[in-house]
Amino acid sequence: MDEDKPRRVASGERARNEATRGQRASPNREAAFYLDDEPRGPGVWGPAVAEDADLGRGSGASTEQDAPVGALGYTDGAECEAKDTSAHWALLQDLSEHIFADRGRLLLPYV
Amino acid sequence: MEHNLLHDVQFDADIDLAVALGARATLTVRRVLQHGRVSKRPVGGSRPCRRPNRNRDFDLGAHSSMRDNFGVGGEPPVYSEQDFEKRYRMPRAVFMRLYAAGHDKPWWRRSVSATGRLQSHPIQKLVAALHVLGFEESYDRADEYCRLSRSTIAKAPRRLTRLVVDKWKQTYLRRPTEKELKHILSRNAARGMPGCIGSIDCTHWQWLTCLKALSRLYHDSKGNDSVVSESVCDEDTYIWHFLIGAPGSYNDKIVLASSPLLLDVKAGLWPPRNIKYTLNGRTRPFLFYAADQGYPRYALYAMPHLKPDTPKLLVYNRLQEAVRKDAKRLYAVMPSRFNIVLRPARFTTVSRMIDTGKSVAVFHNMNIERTRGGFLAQRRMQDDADLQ
Repeated sequence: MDEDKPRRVASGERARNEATRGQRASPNREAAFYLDDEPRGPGVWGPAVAEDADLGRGSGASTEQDAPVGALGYTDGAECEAKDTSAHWALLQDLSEHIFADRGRLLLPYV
Repeated sequence: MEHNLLHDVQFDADIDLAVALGARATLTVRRVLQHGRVSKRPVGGSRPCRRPNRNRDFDLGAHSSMRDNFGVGGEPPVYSEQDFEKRYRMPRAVFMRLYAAGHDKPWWRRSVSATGRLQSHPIQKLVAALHVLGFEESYDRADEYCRLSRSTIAKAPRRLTRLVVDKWKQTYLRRPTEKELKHILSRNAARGMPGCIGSIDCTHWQWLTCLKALSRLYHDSKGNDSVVSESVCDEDTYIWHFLIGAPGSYNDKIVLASSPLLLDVKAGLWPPRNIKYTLNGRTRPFLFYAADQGYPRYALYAMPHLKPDTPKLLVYNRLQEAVRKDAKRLYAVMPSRFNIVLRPARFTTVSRMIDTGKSVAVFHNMNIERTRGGFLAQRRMQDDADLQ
């Protein structure tokens, strides 16, 4: 009885199943779309991701870096760079260190 | 004979052309008259079966404005530079720029009525418009001094804001150039925030006469109908980005999502990556804004720590607050200078609120541009440079 019920799957899992279904059904046919599970670079001007460097695809220059301004790869990289949360925390950490090192001079106008 | 024939043909063609042009001109005039009679609501003017216009003595109003503000007949003006700035919320030079930009425009220039009398002077209209924008005076309040009708004074701020937005929006509400950006960066680096290109914040401008159909959309968290404006400014409160018109129900994040600023950031057009700065021994290419807790935790923003429990985080929060509050200062200085944005707006359309807000921002930037040399922060920077 339970086997007749359709199994609930998460949307990500469903998409993965649909993407690989075509490959399973007929190996010669290409899938309708591919899941973009590849690691993404930190931004337009950032260094290459480790996997890319291992494969020799880029040495200090990601694919986004080569993309012209306005291209999809360029805007994708720029958005990733702007919305990077880990970079935000790193920025706060560096700012805190920088300010604390020179706190005597910087806090002088506010004392 | 042949010559005469050619001459006649040419003459006939000229007559035909003249007739055609005459008919076309007659038709145009007739259409204009018909349009004015049918669809345009008549306001004022001398027409049959209407009360004659009041003799307001425009010359007296123009003479008073000229005498008080600029001096007449070799006499010095009644009001000094400080008094002038108090009365019109801007230096005399900025006032003269507005006058020079608008005095020959169709509505502003001095015309002659059908009875041959001179109409109001552009300086009267400008004075009336600035009284309304600066002090939010009612439209019939300036009648006694400017000698203008209520309807003319109601039109003056609308025309002035439109003129200012059309003429100076591209000049005064734009992103900084590379040279200006480097100056901003050097000043913020001296305040302990290298790489910071300004502070960003949002504020609400209450909309008193919001239409009921729009009330749900423009209802803010405080229970008022309002419009949100987003600004980026530097230490002198010079505005480098200004967005106004978002509904009051939007919070800072939603306003940011629809802001052209973030659209440019997403497109990789802003901030410029060719300017690098060093922070804690690392070279970074991505510049940032100082923002408060209402913004998302993006690399684009330097926000305060939520729970500062160490001296290092406390010091950072203190200095970040000092930079971040530049935008708050802007929202205190600008409305106190132009009271039209201090009090609830009484416009019926959002577009008029947008025009008014943008023109006030342009006025503010014009004022800052004229007076920023005397600011305390500028003088401090100059002293530091002299010491070095």
